[in-house]
Amino acid sequence: MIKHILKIIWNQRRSNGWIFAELLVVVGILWGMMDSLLVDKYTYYQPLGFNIDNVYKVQLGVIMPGTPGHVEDSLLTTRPGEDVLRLVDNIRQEDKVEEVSLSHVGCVYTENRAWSTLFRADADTFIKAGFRQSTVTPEYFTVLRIKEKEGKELSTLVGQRTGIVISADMERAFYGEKGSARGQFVKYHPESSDEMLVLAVSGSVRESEYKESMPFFYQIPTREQLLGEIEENQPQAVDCLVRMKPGFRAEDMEALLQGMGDRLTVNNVYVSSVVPLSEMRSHILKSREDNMKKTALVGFMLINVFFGIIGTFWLRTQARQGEMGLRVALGSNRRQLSRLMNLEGLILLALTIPFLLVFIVNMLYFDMPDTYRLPYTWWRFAATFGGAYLLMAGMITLGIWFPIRKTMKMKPAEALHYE
Amino acid sequence: MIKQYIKQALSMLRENPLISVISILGTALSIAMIMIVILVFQVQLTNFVPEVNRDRMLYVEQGTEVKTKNSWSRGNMSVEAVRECFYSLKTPEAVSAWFTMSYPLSLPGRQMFKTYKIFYTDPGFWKVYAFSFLEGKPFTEADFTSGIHQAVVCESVARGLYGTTQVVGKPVIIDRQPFMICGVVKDVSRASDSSYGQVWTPYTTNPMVLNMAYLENMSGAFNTCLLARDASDFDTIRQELKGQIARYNSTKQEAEIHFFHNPITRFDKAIGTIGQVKVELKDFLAEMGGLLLFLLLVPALNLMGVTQSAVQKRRGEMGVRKAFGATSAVLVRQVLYENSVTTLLGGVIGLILSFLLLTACRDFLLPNADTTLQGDMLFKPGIFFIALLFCLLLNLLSAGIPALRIANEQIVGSLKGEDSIDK
Repeated sequence: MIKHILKIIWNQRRSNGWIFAELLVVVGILWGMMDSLLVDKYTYYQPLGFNIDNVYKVQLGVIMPGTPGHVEDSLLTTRPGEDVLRLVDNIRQEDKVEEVSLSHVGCVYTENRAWSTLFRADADTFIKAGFRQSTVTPEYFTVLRIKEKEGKELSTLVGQRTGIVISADMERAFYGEKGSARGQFVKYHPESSDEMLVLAVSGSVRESEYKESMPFFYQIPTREQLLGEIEENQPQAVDCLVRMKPGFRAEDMEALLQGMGDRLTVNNVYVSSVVPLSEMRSHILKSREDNMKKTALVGFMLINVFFGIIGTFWLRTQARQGEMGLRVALGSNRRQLSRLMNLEGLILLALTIPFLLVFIVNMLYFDMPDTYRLPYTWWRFAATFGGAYLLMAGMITLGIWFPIRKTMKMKPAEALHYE
Repeated sequence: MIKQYIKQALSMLRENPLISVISILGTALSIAMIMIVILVFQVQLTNFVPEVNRDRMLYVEQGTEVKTKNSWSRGNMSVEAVRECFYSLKTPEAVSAWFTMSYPLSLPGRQMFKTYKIFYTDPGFWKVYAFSFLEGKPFTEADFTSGIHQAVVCESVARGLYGTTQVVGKPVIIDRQPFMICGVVKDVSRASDSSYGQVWTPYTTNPMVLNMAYLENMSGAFNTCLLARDASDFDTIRQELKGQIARYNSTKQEAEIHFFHNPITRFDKAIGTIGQVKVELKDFLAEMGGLLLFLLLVPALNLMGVTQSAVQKRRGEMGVRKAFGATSAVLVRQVLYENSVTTLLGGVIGLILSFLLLTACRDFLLPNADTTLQGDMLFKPGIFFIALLFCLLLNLLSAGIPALRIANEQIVGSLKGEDSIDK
C-alpha cells in the first residue's frame, strides 16, 4: 500500500511540490512556536517562592514646607523614621489588615532592584558576584508568604533577632549541595570585620513567573539601622506592603482608606495611594504575555494550511474521478478509498520529517532555543516535535475529509462516464 | 479585453464554489494578518491628535548618562541640563521638557487615594502638541515661571471629580497640594506615548522632584522633546546640541553628561529604538520582512497548487489562443488578471477583517493596555495602497509561475490536450 502511495505522490510531484513546501514551512514555524510557548508555560508553573493574593503596596508621601498640613521642624518631637513606624502601626491596627511590613527595594513586580556583594566570613576564596538583596522587617516574610526552605514560618525563626536571611539558591552557591548556612556568618566585604549571622534559609525565590530563580538575600536591620535607612532614602522610596485578611475585596480599599481619616497622617508622613500588587504584576508581565499571544495569533495561519489541503485534495478528487470510479467498480469499497486518500496526505506530511530533524539539529547547534530556563531534554523534544506533527496531521485529516465525502457519494458508473 | 477576463474569472469562480471560497478566505486571512502588522506599526509612527507633528519631532527619553570617575547614572536629566543643553537651542521651533508621576487626586475636604497620571511639563509642550480644549486654556508662561498651581485636566477626570466638564476655576488636590483647574481637554489615547496623561501642570509646582538631582546636578527626572521647523533641520539640531553639551560639560569638574544615540526620530521609536538601546534599521527590516514573507508565503503556496490545477484544465484554450497569435505575455497577463479577481476580493475582506481584529485584540497587539483607537490613527490613505500592494504581490506569487509554465508550452501539445492530471 505504502509503496503504491509513494508512487502516486511521485507521479503528481508538480502539484504536490507546492503543498509539500507549504507543509515544510508551516511545520518548521509551528515547531518553533510550540517550543517557545512550552518553555514559557513550564517556567510559569514553577513555584514562585512568594504569594501576592490580597497584598497591596502603600505609597508613602512627605508633606513639603508650604503645603497645607505641614508641621514645622521646630514643632516636631519625633524623627521622620519614627513617624513612618507609627504610621505602619496605625495601619496594622486596622481590623481588616492581617500584617504590614517595610522594606527597601523589596517590593515584587517592579523594575527596581538592588545588588550587593556578600561573602562567607569563614572562607578563603570568595564568589565575586553581586546578589539581589533588600532590607526588610521580619513581617515581610509573613506578608509575602515567603517560607523557610523546609516550609516553616520564617518570622518565628527570625524572631526579634537581626541578621541575614539567604535563599536556598544562595545557600547552595555558598555552601554546596549538602551545606547548611543557618548559624554561619557572612559579611559585605572580604576585609570587613562586621560579620552578620545567617538567621535562616528561605525557599527558592524567583523575580516573576517567567524568570529563573536566582540567589537572594534579605537583611533584617536593628531599629536604629531601620530608621537610618528610611531617612536616608526618604519615606517615598520605602516599600510598605500590606496583606489584607482573606475575603477583602480590592474595590473596598478606597472606602477603607477614606474611613481611616487622620490615622493615615503622622506629622509630615502620610499615605498617598494604595495599589494592589496584582495590578503591578499585570504591568510587569504584559510584554512577555503579549508576545505569547501574538505568537498564538500567527498560529492562526494554520487555518490556511487547512484551506490548502482541502483545495488540493478536492481538485485532485475531481481530476481523478475516473480512477476512483474504476477502483470502486473493481471491488474497492468506500473505506479503502478514503484510507488511500488519508494515507496519501499523511505520508506527504511524513516526508517532511527528515527536513525538520535537520532543521532542529541546526537550531540546537547554534544554541537558538531557550535552554537556560529549561534544558533540552527528550521529553521537551517529544512534546514539541510530536505536538507539531499531531496538529498538522489533524489539519490534514480534517482537510481531506471533505473531498472523501464527495468521493464516497459518487456512483461508479457516473464516475466512469465523467469523460 | 479586461472586461472579458473579469467575466471569465467570475464564471470560473462560480464553476467551483468550494475552491473559490477557500481561495478567497485564505487570501483574506493572510491579508488581514499582514495589515494588522502594518497597522500596529502605523499607530507607532503616524501623526494623530494630539501628537500631530511626529514627523518633525526629536526625542530624548530615558536616554541620559552621567558619568564620574567612580560612578554612573543612567536614566533622565536634571532641570539644569534641560536649561543648558535644550532650552538654549536656537534651531528648533519649540522645545519641551517633562516627567510624569502617579499621584492621587482629591477634592477639598475629601481625601481620595486612586492614582492618576500627572504630566509635569512647560509652556513649550502646548506648542509641540495640538490638544483639543473643551473648556478653558493651557497654563501660561507666567504660571510656569512662578510655579503657580494651575492644572489642565482631561474630560474623564473632570467628569469623575465633578460630574461635568464645566470645571474651570474649580479646585483639585494633587497629592495633598491644592491646584486650580485652568482647562479641560478631550481624553488622550495611550497610544500618544510622549504626551499621555490625565492631568497636565507646570513642573515648577513640584520642587521635590526638581531637587532630586545628582552627580553634580546633571542627572535627574527629565525627558525632552524637540519640534523642528522641518525634518531637514534634524542634523543641524543635532550639531547645535553637541555644541551645547560640550559647553555644559566644560563647566563641570567631575561629572560628564551624554545622551547615547539620542535625540531620536519618531521612526526610530517605531522600529523599537529606546533611550538606551538602538535598533538598527537592517535588523528591524530583517525581522519584519521575515514575518511578512511568512504571512505571504503560506497562502501563496496554497494558491499556487490550486491555480496550477485550474490552469492545466484550460490547456486546450491556451493552445487555441496561441495558435491564433497570442504571445506568451498576453497569456500570462490573462492568467494574472483572472487570478487578481480572487486576490482583490480576498484583499478587501482581509482589510476589513484587519480593522476588526485590531480593535478586538488591541490589548495584546499594542504596547499599552487600554489604548483607545482613533480614526486618524488608522484610516490613512497609505493603508489602502499598501493593502493593494500586498494583494498584487500575492497575485504575482501565486499565479506567476503556473502562468509562465502554461504560456510557454508547445501549441501542439496543448491542442492535443494530453490529458494527464499534471506532469
